[in-house]
Amino acid sequence: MFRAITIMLIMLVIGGCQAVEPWERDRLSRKDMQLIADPLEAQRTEQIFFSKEASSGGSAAAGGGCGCN
Amino acid sequence: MRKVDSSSLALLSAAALALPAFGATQPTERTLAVSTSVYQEDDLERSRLAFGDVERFKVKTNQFYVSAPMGRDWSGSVRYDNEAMSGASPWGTSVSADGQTDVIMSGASIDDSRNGLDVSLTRYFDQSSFSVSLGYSGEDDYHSRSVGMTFERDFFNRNTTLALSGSYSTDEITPTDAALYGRVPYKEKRSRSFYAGLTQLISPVAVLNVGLGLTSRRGFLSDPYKLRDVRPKQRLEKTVTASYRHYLDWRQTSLRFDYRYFWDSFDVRSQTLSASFMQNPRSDIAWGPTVRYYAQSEASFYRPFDQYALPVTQAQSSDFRLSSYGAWSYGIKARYQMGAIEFNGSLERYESDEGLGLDESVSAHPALVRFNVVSLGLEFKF
Repeated sequence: MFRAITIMLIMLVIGGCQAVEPWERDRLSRKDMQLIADPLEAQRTEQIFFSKEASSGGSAAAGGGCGCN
Repeated sequence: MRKVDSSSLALLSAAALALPAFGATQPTERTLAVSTSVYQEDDLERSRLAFGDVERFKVKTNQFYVSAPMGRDWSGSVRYDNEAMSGASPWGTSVSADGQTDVIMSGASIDDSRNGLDVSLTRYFDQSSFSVSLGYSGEDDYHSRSVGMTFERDFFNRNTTLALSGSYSTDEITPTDAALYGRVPYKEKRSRSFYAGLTQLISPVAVLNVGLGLTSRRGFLSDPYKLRDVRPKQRLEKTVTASYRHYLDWRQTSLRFDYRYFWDSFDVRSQTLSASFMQNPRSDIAWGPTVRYYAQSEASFYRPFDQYALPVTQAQSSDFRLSSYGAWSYGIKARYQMGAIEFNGSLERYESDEGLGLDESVSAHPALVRFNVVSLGLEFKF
């Protein structure tokens, strides 16, 4: 079901979005607009939540397990 | 004492981090970043302590990151982090005379460190890129090695980017004082992970990313430091994710939203939603609040109390992380740009509560964590 919803969402977005030319991407290139704005912060927070919650993954391929306290 | 093995996770995160966010293009600047942070858990309520120490974990972390373009078609990155850990951790649970769940803690003498190293190398082509990452994480009783690969391909004049990645990791667990406490002396586990993501520019101020993830873990997945913790030897995890970024010109503010739905073969389901708002009142200053909501259901073999009458082969765990609970975390981030150097800092508070869990009518687990994280860092681009 989730796969179907995701595919529908993708089709909806691709169908409804406008082509963004390279010279229109100044705001998209801002640091806070990146999917990962701060590599160190992302790694740190991901490790904390990986250690303290039963869920993990979702950003690229998450491999290893955790036996964290 | 249980150990942190997240090198594989960190390695593959680093692989993603080394890639440009939108489009498989080579970075144009070298980046040097350092950060230091302190993670501090609140003490356990003394009235819920059956044995041990109430002072819980504290982790001091130092991180170092460098990335640079190399020649016309390559880039590389290296991340090193060091953690110093101290404090007590839960060993198990027991039933008190009045029927409530109490926590059996270790002593506060745990004092350990972890060193992690991740190296990533990326080759760029006309419309695509390919990355290879290697990672290692080592502690006294936990060693993890991993390798990951990521492929990105641009479409439609770089308005759409497809990312595919995979990873493999091997972990070795050698618990301390194994003979003294009857712990397993040596165990292994292996993880394989796959991810597919699509990033789409929606407008000059908006971008959306969706992804599907799959992780398979096999081997020793139990906690060797708990008094009774028996988990299945296989775990299959799945995720669906969505991220949205929007820039408000009239407020000079960027909005960030991230969502993840997770479910696995332990019967754990979870939802995670985070949002942050970074505003730029001046060109050299940015600041804003962050908020994150998390809720999960309990694992099929979770039990509020350790049950020693059950066969040792029957799955059971009283680990609070496998119980039904939820959490709110909230904080603030700020950055100040001085020439090519950026100074940054953040404060975050995390509070978990069984009432926020996805399952109804659950009993409170007294070991649910509450913690603060404070971080300071700087980043230099040249």
